[in-house]
Amino acid sequence: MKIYISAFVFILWSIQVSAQDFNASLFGCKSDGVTNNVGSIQYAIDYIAKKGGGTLHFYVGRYVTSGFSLKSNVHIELHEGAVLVGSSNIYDYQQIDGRYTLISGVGQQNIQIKGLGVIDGQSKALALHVRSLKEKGLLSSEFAMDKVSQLYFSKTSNIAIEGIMQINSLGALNSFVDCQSIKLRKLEINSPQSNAVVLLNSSQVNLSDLFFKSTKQALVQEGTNSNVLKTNCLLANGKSI
Amino acid sequence: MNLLRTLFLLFLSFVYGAVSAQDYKVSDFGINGDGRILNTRSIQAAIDFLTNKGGGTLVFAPGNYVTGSIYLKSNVTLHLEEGAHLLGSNNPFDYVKDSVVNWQSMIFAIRQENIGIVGKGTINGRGFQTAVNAVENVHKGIVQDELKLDRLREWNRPENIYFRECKNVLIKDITLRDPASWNQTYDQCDGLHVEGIYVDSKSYWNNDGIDVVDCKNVVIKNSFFDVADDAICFKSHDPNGVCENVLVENCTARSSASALKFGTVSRGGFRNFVVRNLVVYDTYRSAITFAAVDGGFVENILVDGVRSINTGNVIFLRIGDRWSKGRKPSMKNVTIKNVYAEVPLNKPDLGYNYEGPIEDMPRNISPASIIGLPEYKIENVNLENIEFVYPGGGNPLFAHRGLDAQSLEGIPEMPAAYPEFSQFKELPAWGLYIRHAKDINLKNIKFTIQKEDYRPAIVADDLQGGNWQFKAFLNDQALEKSYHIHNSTNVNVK
Amino acid sequence: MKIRFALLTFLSFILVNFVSAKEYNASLFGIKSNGTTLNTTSIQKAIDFIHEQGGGTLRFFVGRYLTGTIILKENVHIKLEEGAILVGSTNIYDYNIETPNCALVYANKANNISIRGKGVIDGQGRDLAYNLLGQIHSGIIKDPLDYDRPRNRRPKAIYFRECENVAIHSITIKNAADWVQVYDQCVNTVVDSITVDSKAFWNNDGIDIVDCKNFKLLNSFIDAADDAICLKSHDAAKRCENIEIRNCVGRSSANGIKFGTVSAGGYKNVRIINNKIYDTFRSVFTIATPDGGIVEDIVVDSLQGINVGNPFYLRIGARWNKGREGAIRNILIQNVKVEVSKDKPDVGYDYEGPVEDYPRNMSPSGIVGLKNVPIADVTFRNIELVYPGDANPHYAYRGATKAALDSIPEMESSYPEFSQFKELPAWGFFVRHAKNIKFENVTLTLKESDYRPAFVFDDVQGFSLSGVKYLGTKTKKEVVANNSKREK
Repeated sequence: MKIYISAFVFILWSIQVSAQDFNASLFGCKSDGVTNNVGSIQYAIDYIAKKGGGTLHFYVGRYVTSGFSLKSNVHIELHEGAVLVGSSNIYDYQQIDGRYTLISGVGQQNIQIKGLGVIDGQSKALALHVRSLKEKGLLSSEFAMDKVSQLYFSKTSNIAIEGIMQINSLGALNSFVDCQSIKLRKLEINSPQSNAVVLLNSSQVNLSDLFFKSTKQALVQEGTNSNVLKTNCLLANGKSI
Repeated sequence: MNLLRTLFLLFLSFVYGAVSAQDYKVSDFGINGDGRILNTRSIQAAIDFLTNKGGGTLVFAPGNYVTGSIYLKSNVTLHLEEGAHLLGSNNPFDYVKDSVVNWQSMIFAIRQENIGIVGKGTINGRGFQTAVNAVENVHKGIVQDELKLDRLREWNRPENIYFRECKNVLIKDITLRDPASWNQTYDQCDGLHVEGIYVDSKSYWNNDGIDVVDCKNVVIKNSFFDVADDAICFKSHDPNGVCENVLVENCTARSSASALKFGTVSRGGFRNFVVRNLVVYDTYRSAITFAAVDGGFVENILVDGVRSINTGNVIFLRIGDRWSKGRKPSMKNVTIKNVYAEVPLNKPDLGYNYEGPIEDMPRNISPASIIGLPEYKIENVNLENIEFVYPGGGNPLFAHRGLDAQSLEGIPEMPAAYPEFSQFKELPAWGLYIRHAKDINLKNIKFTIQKEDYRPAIVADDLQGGNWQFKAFLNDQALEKSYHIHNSTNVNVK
Repeated sequence: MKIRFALLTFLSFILVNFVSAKEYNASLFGIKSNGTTLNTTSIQKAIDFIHEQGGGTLRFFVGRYLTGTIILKENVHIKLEEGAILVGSTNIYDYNIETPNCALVYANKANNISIRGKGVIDGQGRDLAYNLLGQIHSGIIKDPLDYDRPRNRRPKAIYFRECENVAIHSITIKNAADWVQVYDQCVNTVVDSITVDSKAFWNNDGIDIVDCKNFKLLNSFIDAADDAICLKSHDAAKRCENIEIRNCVGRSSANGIKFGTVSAGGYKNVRIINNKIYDTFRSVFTIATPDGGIVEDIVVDSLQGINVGNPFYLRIGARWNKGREGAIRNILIQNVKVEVSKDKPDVGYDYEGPVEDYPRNMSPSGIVGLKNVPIADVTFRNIELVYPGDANPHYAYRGATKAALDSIPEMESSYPEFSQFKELPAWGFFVRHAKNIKFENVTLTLKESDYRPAFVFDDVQGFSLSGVKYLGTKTKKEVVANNSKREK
């Protein structure tokens, strides 16, 4: 009986895993470093989610985008040389839970961002824009730069971020609020203005082989987090966190 | 009619009073006019900021502002300075199909008040490329559309402007170009003032100039339309809706369909219209066409002052029974006066992009027509001071419709067909054809043909009542008794 | 050398005189300048007609001339007057896509041809490439897609093959969908005073000189997304020979001046004189011979690199060499000044070079042969290089001990790029598998500290350093030699 059950489970699992691969160009994404691809990327994610899941592949090139939302079972693979470039206009970020997010997932399951590519938040240009808006009174003076998140997840489980380089974010690079089962592995973080990993009431967090080339704080824990494992996570001075 | 005028004046002051408040420059929000950066969200943020502040004007300095779908909100006016171009993104995925209207657009406004788009700048949908890209997405299999006539359905292509259930809308001085679908739709709005706009749009199928759907208190004046589909188009989508209290004044229209049109969708109705000083040229179908084919009504319409040059048909009034669902269509109290019209022998829109399709052959030149249905008659139409110039030359060997009872009654009723002046193919008159009508009065009407035609100037069939005072000519030569009346009563010909 | 030079000059003089044949205005053939009429067939008719008349010049005056592929024929010259733009169609089916190396202007075995004038060739390559991609995704065209972009059928702006006496003068070439212009096995070619502006799509090399003999590239400005000035050798039985690149300015999101990557035959007698490279992502000057090509008798004189990713990279590899051994020998590089940028040098250009090969600190110049195939007889004379330094050993680390050096992989079959080894143990020069390498009057400047020495020599049989200065470094051992022989 047990065998049958596990076979059944295996079949279910393999159905999920056999999900399809999609190239970004299928949805009209342009790698020119100019075209804002948010419409195409969001459509691709929604489309893949509707198909039951799969992987959206970005190959070498710079893909400018505004904020977009991830959906359950949609994985993103950034192949070597692929750069997801956040817009330098703060209004292009999605407002979720009082934050301005580039990539977000709320109430989702099974999310992956993997590969050898880069996510670039263009913090310099973004900071200039925020400052000028504040000076003109068009953005509340209370607006805090650290409310700009590169990756923001809430009430989401089974998240894996692996292999990529995360650079130049204005605010936290990786924020997890009420999330479970988080794996961050082999990330290179180079973002002097922002915190790298921020946990709030999250559990089963596995951090391994992370290198914090520059960051404000490598790991910030708020609320009650449980089962936070750290393996080989190094700061620029060679010290472990 | 005086009542109408006071109503308009009152309403005008209302609209102008609404525009006020502070100006904001787009650059303040980081909206970028470089022609490459996508500004959808920053424009939206600026609009939201202004509406939350109680209103204001967002000023676009000269530049090329690329955007996808944005929503205009209450008390916000977009001011496009001369040289400012709001450009539609060419990525179909940058547009929203709004859930209320079920249609795509660049600029939406849903249930907002005191909004406007003004200034000498341009809204350019760049729709041709967007439509082509959308077709490609269907072929790639990532977007579903039945591709009727090898193009996406018009609601799956973005318009330039779609406003629904808005109050006090001002559209002034702007230029509109090249959407992927219709140009601008105002749907169930109350208080729409369109003035001094320039619409040039022959970029893709269904490029209507302006579509006013079930709106009240509408002014369209001093505007110019050169478009691939209908130029000035009133529709009634809602059986309980109505287009009413409308003034169209000092407009010029060119179309590869019809210039001034009621319909095709005509579920509710149209009433209290004044159309003054309309110039129509190079237009493929009708200069003026009113259709009540979906159970709606048309009443109290005054058209005063039309110059129609090189246009395929002058007047086409039609009751049909297409999507009526048991409701009774009607058309009454229509006055059309002070018209000069020249109908050409050749295709009037030759050489324009997206020319109207050649169809309905063989037929000789079609007459102006007033055609009801046996059970739904068109009532009380007054034609006054009209000069029609036709090419004539109707050749019975090419197409023939006789005047005998059998021939006349053999003209099909076609109640459910798409209403178009050419739908009946050959008609038995060269100047005016009337069928299923009551009280059609002609006062000081002159018909001229330039070549002999085998048909008479006027044919009436099933007309109950009418006083006709008209003259027909072959060039300078008067044509005596150039009419035929069949199965009619109380028609007095002077 | 002098005789050859005089010969080349004489040849180009002859070329000038060829142009004087009969002139024909484009309008004569019904060619339209409105930018919307597709002129392919009428331009082709004009070329064929002029060709049949024995030759002459087809003149385009101000206007936009939309066209697909046109094929140049013997003795036909195109003159693009100021304001005339030959605009490439964005419809992929307007090109000769069934021909390998399809192009907007194509010629095969056509002698005495030229394109001159202050006009422009604009390939509209971005829209063209994305339209091609759309046809692939719609299933109409089959293509395997490399890196999510079409592998085949991307039109070049110019492709000339086996042509003799070719002149390209004064024109501007923009926006190709692939390499911008290719001269393949041509003999006696002068490209003079042209401008290339092409960041329209991937692989936008500025100019590719493939297996050509007697080629001059002079006084030109080249700004390209991929390698700016590129010599290639596709045919193992052929090579690039007698090439002169003089007074040019280059900008690239790859390399400034490059030999390779495909280097089947090789390169002989190449003179690269008085050129400038700026805002360039990879190397100012690089020779790659991974496919068995022989590189010899190369002179680089008066070269400046401003805001670039790397000064020099010379590399022998073994990729598609099919048993043949490549070689790099007798190279003179002198009077060179290069400043390497700490930040990405090509930021803000369309199709920026990709961030890859991490983790690594700033890479040195490289001279890297193979174990038994050393790079030989290279002299660096009067060289000033400035490196940013600021290397963090916790981020990436490569020691200079024998064991550490031995652990650097050979990577003989991988794509040759200065960054290919990731972290290298030197900040100035990494020299491996070489012989007779001379550094004379070389100044190496470091802006911030670096944990590595300036020079690492590994398996170098005979190297010499004379007049070498180090600025901005703390006194430490700047030269590490392993299994190498230093000569005084």
